[in-house]
Order: sequence, then structure tokens, then C-alpha cells
Amino acid sequence: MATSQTLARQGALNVSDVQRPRSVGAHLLLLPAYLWLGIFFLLPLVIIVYYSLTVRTPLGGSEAVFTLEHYARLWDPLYARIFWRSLWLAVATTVITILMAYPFAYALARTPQRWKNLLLLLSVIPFWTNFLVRTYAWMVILRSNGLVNTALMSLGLIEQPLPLLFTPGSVLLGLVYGFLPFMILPIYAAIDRLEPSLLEAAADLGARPWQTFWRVTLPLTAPGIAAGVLLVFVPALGMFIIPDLMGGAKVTLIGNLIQNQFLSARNWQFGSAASVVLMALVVLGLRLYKRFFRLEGVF
Amino acid sequence: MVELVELTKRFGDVVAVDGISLSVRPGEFLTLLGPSGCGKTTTLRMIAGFENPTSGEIYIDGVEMGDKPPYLRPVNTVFQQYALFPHLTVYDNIAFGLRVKKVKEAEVRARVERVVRMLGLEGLEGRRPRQLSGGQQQRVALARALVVEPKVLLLDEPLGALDLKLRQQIQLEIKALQNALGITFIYVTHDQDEALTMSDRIVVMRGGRIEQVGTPRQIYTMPETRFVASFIGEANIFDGIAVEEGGTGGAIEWKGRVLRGRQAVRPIPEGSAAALIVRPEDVCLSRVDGEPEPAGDELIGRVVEEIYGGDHVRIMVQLTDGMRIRARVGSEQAGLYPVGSTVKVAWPEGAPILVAGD
Ligand SMILES: Nc1ncnc2c1ncn2[C@@H]1O[C@H](COP(=O)(O)OP(=O)(O)OP(=O)(O)O)[C@@H](O)[C@H]1O
Ligand SMILES: [Mg+2]
Repeated sequence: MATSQTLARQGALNVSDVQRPRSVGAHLLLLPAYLWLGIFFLLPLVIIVYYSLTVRTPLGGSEAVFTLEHYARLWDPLYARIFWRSLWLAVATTVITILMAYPFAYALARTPQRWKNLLLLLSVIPFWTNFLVRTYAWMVILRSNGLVNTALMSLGLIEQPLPLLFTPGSVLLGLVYGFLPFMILPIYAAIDRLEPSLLEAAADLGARPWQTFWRVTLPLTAPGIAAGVLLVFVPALGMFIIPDLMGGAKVTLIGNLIQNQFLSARNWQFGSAASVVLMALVVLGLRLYKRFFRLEGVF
Repeated sequence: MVELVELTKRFGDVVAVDGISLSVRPGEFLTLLGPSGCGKTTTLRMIAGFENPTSGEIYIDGVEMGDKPPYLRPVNTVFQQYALFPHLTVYDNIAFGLRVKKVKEAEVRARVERVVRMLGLEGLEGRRPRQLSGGQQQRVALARALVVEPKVLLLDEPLGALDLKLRQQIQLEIKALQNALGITFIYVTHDQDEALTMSDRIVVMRGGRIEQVGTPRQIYTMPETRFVASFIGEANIFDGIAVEEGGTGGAIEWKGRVLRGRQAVRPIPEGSAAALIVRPEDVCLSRVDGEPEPAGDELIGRVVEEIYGGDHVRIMVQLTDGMRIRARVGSEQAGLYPVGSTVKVAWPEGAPILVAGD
């Protein structure tokens, strides 16, 4: 992931690439890329925007009549609450994964080579198992007759099973669990590439370990965090499998809302409007994020 | 100022530094010189506190360092690859050492500005390290270490990455700076010219041990070991057996001849291996008619190479008994000994140096 050096390199590229006029030939060469983008990116987007702005026929089709009613419907407090809940859960997931991943990645990067590969392997092993299966495993652990409740009850600590599953907390747990490796890997890569001589230079100039951390280690590994945030926040915001399984009907997120509108309610128009708003939120968030952290190299 | 006592460092089976003792005087420019892998960097890193000695002690300004961490030692380092902080500007790089010590920002500015002027970095304060040339980065590294006013500055091949011309220029600047500031410099290099030009004293190291300590002049004119003689400056080395010789000089027996030299600094027992060192500039040549053939005690040979070097000429002579002699004569003698001509090789009495053989 982008270290300061790759940042530097990309910076240099940007300078030399300044607005070189592209010839017709260059555009021709890029044609496959344009086609690819057009078919897999632009076309679906256009369709979604079209659906979101047209009237729904009783059978679920779209009538070519312009309307903003689907967007207006999203202002309903019911939906606003879903958006808000999705947002804070995604933010919380991101923050918690950073706090958990950073120390782990740091320790990993400082581990002797022999153990390093083993630990790295352990942290990506979950990827080899189907995500759905791993989420079901959590349900087995958390449900009312699951491992935790059974254990606590047999120890006599509680009379009634605790409501662990189908709470915002369980959804958050699921999200953090699911996305943690995506935060660990880029941060690990950034810390691993940190020049040890820079840390020595800081100590040499009189910086105590925590000063070195705040003034050198953290700023230089920030691109790793930034990359991790992208890999975690964006998908977490649209995630529907985890809230579906671990949140049930009680903890609906935007992802579930959209999924339901498309699959069960067959209201593609409303689902499209929700998708467009979600996309707009993500783009806006990324812009702010980029402005705030000035992390051009990461995008 | 800095005192090393029986300092040893082992990395597993490798003995990087093998019990060196050394006393560095206040305000001195001391150079650690030696071939690659002889333990220069390791010695410096132990003084800075990046490595813990396996055994032995380090005193800085009379205080035993023990396992004090680097941030508590009154020394600063200029790293070989500079190790400038890439995310900080030149100004912030230089200010780093002051800010972590919580120096007031007004004083930080004054002190940074002073070293910026001293090292000619004006106008570069806002740049990032990657926007600087190698020489400029070098100066920033120097400024960053000097601004905190260390008692001892450690420099590990600080000019290694620069081209020759720039290196020679910065050598002079560093030397002038050191004179002006009066800070003790411990300087590591494997470039003998650099060591000879800059140092008050040179420590020649080899395989983790100290071979010789002395002023550049002592090291060059009075090497104590064959290694020092061959490592510093060019040398023609005659390996032979020490023989007893009346008078003040020493002598060796070499291929049936007796070659005389100055008495060795370290006495050499008769009959043991010894080497006679003749510097190329001490070699005198004279033309001889006819083919080169062995003639008594004289060294006769054929010129195989003549290289014009501006103010001097280098001449390579192949002796009849196989050895090649390098001579360096003034440019007024250019053309006197053309390739293929036969010459006699000699040197002024007392010029050759006698050292123990390896
Ligand atoms: N961290 C380490 N682990 C193992 N061996 C090491 C380590 N650091 C140095 N050594 C070994 O110790 C010896 C001395 O190394 P050192 O870096 O001090 O040499 P040097 O004189 O600085 O050489 P150079 O001129 O190439 O920089 C070498 O044989 C080297 O391989
Ligand atoms: Mg070295």
C-alpha cells in the first residue's frame, strides 16, 4: 500500500504528466478501457439513475415520466434512521478496526521473520472459508442457546439467556470481524516498509519512543491507514449479509433496504433512489476525507 | 571526550568489533578508517546507543553509557543515507531535535535559521527531502544533527553517496565547520584520501581490531603494520625475512638481496617475516642500456606502462624477477622512460619503511 516513497513516486509522475494533450491515436488505444468502463460501470449507473427518476407502474416496470417522489420518500424519518444507523455503524467499524489492526500490524511487522509468515498466514486464513459460513459460526456462538449463553448459564452466572444476537452490537461485532483483515494488511504493509533508520534518527535526535511514534511512525504509516479506511468504510456502509444474519429485522441498514426493495418489494425505483443516495454519500465522504487528510497518493 | 574500553560486539558467530580501546580528545576530528566489514559502523552504532556492546564500556564526557538509550546520549549521528524524515520539510527536519526537547518555538526558529545560514540552505526551508539534490540532503542531515549542539557528532560515511567533486567540496566545508564549532567529530570512511585530508587522527581498523592510531602523517609515513602501509596510500611491498643489520636501519632479505629501510616502529625479531614498503613517489628511475638482466644487488626492469597524470607521471616497471614496481615521477620526466626501455629502480636511503610481515 502506498508508503511515503510510493507517494513520492506518484507525486513525481503527476508532475511530469501534467496535461499532456492526448492524440486521437492514444484515445483509440484506450478504447478497450472505455468500453469496459462503459459496459460495467457507466451503463448500470445510468440505468439506476433512470429508474430512480421515473414513475413505477403497478407491475413494477418503469414509466418514462420524470418524478422525484422516490427521493422525497427517503426523507421519511424511518429511512433517515436507517441511513444514520448505517453511517455510524460503518464509522464505528472503521474506527474499531483501526484501533485493533494498528497494534497487531505493528507487532507483526516487528516479529522475527520466522514467526512473521505464520502470523500473517493466520490473519488471512479466514479468507479461505466462505464468508457466509463464518458469519453463521458467529450466530452459533451468540444465539440464545449458543455457546456463550449456554456457558454462562451452566456456570450459574445468568438465569435467562442474554439477548446477544440481533442487536446493533452484534452487527458491529460481525462487521469488525469481517473487515479486520482488510485493515490489518495495508497497515502491516506500511509499517513493514518503514525505514528503521528513520526511527533511529528520531531517537538519536532525542525523541522518546512515544514521540517517535507520534512524529514519525504514525505520519509515515498513515497512507496504510488511509487505504485500510477505504477498504473497510465503503463496503461496510453497503454491507447487507452481516446485518441480515446478525441483526435480523431489528437492525436494518441501507444495504438491507436496497436489497429488499430490489428482491422482495420489487420496487426497483425506490431501491435505485436509495442506491444513488448511498453512492452520493460515499463520493462526498471520500472527497471530504481526501481534502482532510491530503492523501492524493492513495486514490 | 569519548572513551572506549575493551569494546566488543558479537552478532552470533561474527565478531564485528573485537575488544577495541580508544580515547577521543575533546574537539578532535577522529576518523575510523578500514575496509568494508571491519566494524566501523558497528563501533559508531554502539557509541550512539543503537547497539548494545557484548562487553566493554563506553564513556562519553566521563559518564558511563551502559545501556542508555540513544535519546539520552549527548551524541548525534549523521547517517550514511541521511535518514531525513520524508514527511517533513527541511525546516521541520532541522527543528525536529529541538521540538522533541520542548524548546520554545521562538528559540527553535532562531537556532534553525542560524544553522540554515551556516550550511547555505537558505530558500530550501519549505522543501521536502525528495525535492533536494544529494548534496543538499547531506547538508540538511548535517544541520539537523548540529542544531541540537551535541558534544560529539558521529558521521557514518556521510559523503559516500556523492560524486567526487561535491565530496571534495563538502569535505572542506565539514572540516571548516568542525574547526569553527569545536565539536568532537568521529567520522567513518573507507576512503583513505578523505581520511588523510580531514582528520586530526586516524584509527585504522581491520577485522574488528585497531591496527594503528595516529595523525595522517604518522599513518602515511610511519605505518606500523604491513596492512596499514598497503591500505593507506600506494605502496610497493617487498615481502622477505628480517635480517640483522648494523647501524640505525633495518633490513630484509629479499630474493637473495639485502634491502635496507628505516627501523620498524614495532621491533621485528630477526628471521621472522618482514616487509619493506616503498612509496611510488620515492622510487627513482634511471635508464640503462641493453636488455634487462639481473645484476647483483641492483633492481633492473623494463617499463611496461607510462600514464601521464598532469602534474605527475606514473610508470610501471616489470622487474627481472617478476615483481612490478609502481613509480611516480614529476611531469618534467615525462617521456624519459618510454614503454619497453630498460631502467634501474632505486630509492633514497632511509625512504623505505620496514614493517612486520603478515
Ligand atoms: N546486525 C548485524 N547482524 C549480523 N552481523 C552484522 C550486523 N551488523 C554488522 N554485522 C557484521 O559485522 C561486521 C562489521 O560490520 P560493520 O557494518 O560494522 O562494517 P563496516 O566497517 O561499517 O563496513 P562498511 O565499510 O562496508 O560499511 C560485518 O562482518 C558484518 O557482516
Ligand atoms: Mg559501514
